[in-house]
Amino acid sequence: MLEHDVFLVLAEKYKDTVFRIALSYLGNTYDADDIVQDVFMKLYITNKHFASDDHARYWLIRVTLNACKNLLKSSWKTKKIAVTTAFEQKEQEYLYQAVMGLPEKYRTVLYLYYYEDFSVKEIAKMQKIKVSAVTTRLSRARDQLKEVWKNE
Amino acid sequence: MNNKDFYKTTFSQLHTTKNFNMEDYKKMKIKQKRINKIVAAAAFVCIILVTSSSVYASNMFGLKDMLIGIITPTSANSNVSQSNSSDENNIAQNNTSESINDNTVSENRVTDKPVASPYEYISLQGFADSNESKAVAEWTNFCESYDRDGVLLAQVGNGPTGLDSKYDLYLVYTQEMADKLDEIVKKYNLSLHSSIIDITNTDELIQKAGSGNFLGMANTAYSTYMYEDGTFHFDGCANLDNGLKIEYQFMNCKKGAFTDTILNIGSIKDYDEWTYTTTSGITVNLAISPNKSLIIADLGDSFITINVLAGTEHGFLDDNGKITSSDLESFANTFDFSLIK
Repeated sequence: MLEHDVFLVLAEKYKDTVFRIALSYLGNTYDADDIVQDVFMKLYITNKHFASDDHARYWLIRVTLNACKNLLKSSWKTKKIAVTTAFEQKEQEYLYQAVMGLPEKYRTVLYLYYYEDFSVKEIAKMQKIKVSAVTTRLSRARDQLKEVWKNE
Repeated sequence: MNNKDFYKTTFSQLHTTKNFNMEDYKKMKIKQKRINKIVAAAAFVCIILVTSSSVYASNMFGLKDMLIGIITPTSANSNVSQSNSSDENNIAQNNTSESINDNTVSENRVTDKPVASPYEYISLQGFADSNESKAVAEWTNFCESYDRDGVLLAQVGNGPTGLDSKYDLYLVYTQEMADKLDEIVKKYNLSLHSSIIDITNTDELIQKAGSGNFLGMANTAYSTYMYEDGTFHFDGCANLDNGLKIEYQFMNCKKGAFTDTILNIGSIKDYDEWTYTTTSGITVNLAISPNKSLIIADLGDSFITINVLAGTEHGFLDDNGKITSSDLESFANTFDFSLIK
């Protein structure tokens, strides 16, 4: 089990990362919050030694993706609940709504690529999909976002 | 501000409402231990059932004959895999990648949540006894156990590996991976894909992949890629005569080449299967479950799997769009499989 102080440092540092990935994957804040609790419980009880912050981050993201996948397959999936965040700019609200309007597989790849700065190869490995599938999803997500943006 | 910065600025405003109370976590840990014991027992039962089922299913061409691996979540640090036939097909896939128990959920749910089911994988290259399927099973097994913490991959990033010219179409980023892949394709007498093209519209796909319009009037293809041997994949959408819109993924694997794609089908027990002869005269296997459905066609030179993103209880994005067995047959009829090259 991790030392409490190590756990708390990692939890505070990465709780929003886990939340945002879960939100991208699941599309609702209620389930995303539950995933945060679930993932950090796993972190709390793990015997794993993390060589670095990056190692812990990578581990947390993989566990988050799997937890989301499992939740989607279970009967516990809840209906979409709109995010209540007030964005600083109207354009940001548009972007958020446009991204969340995309299919799950595009949202998650977008988040990992644009926000977490993972390479397409890293995303392919995390999501167990082909590199070409990552690039295709990124490309298609961009196209769909452009289309939505044009209509705003 | 570029697109990436704009995205980051927007999404950085999203925050979880969860806080970390150590007392809560300590209590949850005690519950977790109890659950793990139950899960381990349940998982053991599942493995026995799956192993037994492969015996009675051996004379039936269907999903069971495409199965190349099973993941059964157990207590932390122990995942188990099984396959349906030869030893060469055993793959040890670890769904969580870090041996994590999937079954812990938030405290208010922990007493009710069903035990996680095994995840079963099928080959998209042919039935499990084909060389193509054996190869993808071995490769998947290797990849699952290699560089599990991603350290090597993180070092490589998007930079050149020196291996790109030959292995660019596979997730190969070290010489050890390259050697393993070469060993597998040699063992099963397969070739590696050497080039890939993106296809931008339905007409181009029909022209390159078919000897006629195999998509009919109902189907629209998008996000298509095709390998040099004619193996292709696309995301598609079909509009049935009854107004139902079906989203799907279509994979046509040419035999003789190594394609490293597998498909998680959830639990095979959830599927009803039957054979059906389409209006184009091709007999296909159909399978339907609550969450997804499949159309499988062995065309001799190639093997087709259509992953329909809807089942009897759930549609693509929500519960709208769920389908029936009759809808699945109607959907199969929208293709003319005899026109695929």
